[in-house]
Amino acid sequence: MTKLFRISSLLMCILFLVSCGAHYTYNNVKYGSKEEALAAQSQNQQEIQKQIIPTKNKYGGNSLFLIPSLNSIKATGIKKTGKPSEDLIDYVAQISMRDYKNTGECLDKRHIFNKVNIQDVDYPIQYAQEQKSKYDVVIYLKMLDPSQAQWMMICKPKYVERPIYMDMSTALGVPRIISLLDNIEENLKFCSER
Amino acid sequence: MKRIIVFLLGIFCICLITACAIGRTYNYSNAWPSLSYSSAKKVTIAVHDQRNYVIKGQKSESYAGMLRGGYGNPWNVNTENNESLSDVMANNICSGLNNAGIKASKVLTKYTDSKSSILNTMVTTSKDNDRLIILTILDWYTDTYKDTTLYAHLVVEVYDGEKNNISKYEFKEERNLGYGIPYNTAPNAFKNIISTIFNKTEIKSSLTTD
Repeated sequence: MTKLFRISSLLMCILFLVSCGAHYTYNNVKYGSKEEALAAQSQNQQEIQKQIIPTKNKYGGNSLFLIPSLNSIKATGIKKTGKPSEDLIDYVAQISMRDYKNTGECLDKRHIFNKVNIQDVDYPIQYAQEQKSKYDVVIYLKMLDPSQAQWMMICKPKYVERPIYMDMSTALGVPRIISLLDNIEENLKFCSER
Repeated sequence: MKRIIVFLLGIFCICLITACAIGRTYNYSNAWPSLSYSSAKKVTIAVHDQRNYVIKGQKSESYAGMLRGGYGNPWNVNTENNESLSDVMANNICSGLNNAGIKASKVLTKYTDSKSSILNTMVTTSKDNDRLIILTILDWYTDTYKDTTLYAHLVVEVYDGEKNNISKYEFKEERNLGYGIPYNTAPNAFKNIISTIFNKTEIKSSLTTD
């Protein structure tokens, strides 16, 4: 009878552990709660921003930096396998969105433009077209699915769309963000007639 | 002591049974199709559920498929929140078009609506439409035993703002979605199939050219 009791208790414990074993990973480190992981991301982003120095080739003007909303990221930016919980999908979407926002904040710290307006919207491609006449430069993330995400730029006066490239051979973090900022400056040479 | 054992085993058995097939749902929301083009045309979309088993009242409008138990006995699976499949599909397609830069709105329908009444509603709801799209669901369900098979039969018709038909594409397929319950593979298949249809030359040109 005691043996039967032990077996049933063990089964209950396994069931309990399996259903409660969620963890959150950020930069290959596992955290026990979403809040801890997000706090680690905030700290990492602060470190990145500290290393962004203002450009010597200021372009000026007013820019709009469009990032996808949480809803949009959940639909187009996350590759799901198995049956991830809503909480986990929400966490991954939050991490991604904060990374995109951090890119915009780094752009602001680089002082290429007089002002960088960061906005999250459901449909960045459409919104970029609607807003392009109101800003000197619009930068947005074109994300159709997780394998097709590309930063794009539209600038006055011709409104030609140009892709912005990130050097994927550089290390994650500061070097990669700087490669993106460098490419934005490079692209601005093609829209100098304001 | 015996009561405790019986209680614990009872709870364990309930967990096992309810984990099998009862109350399962497939979350089709956020399965936005991915278009390889954009367009300046203004589009309204409607999805019309004309599945035989829904029209006959054998299944609800939220029916998404079935899971089979050990003896092959089927259990119905519905969409998350029991939203009608046509509403979920319309929301996804509308979002996918908007995400590609095409201004799109939707009209929600019932399986009892006629195609002409849907077209009239689309015209009156948004008067400056360049294109009207009706996607008719003739079949859409998954059947899961060990593997999952998706049965899909969809017809997409594109009309101009005057309700003249300008293109049509029919998709019919039995697709093996692999082993296990298709929590992600069914919505992914929807995304993939709708993307394929909307990226077909005939549909693409009717949405991009005059």
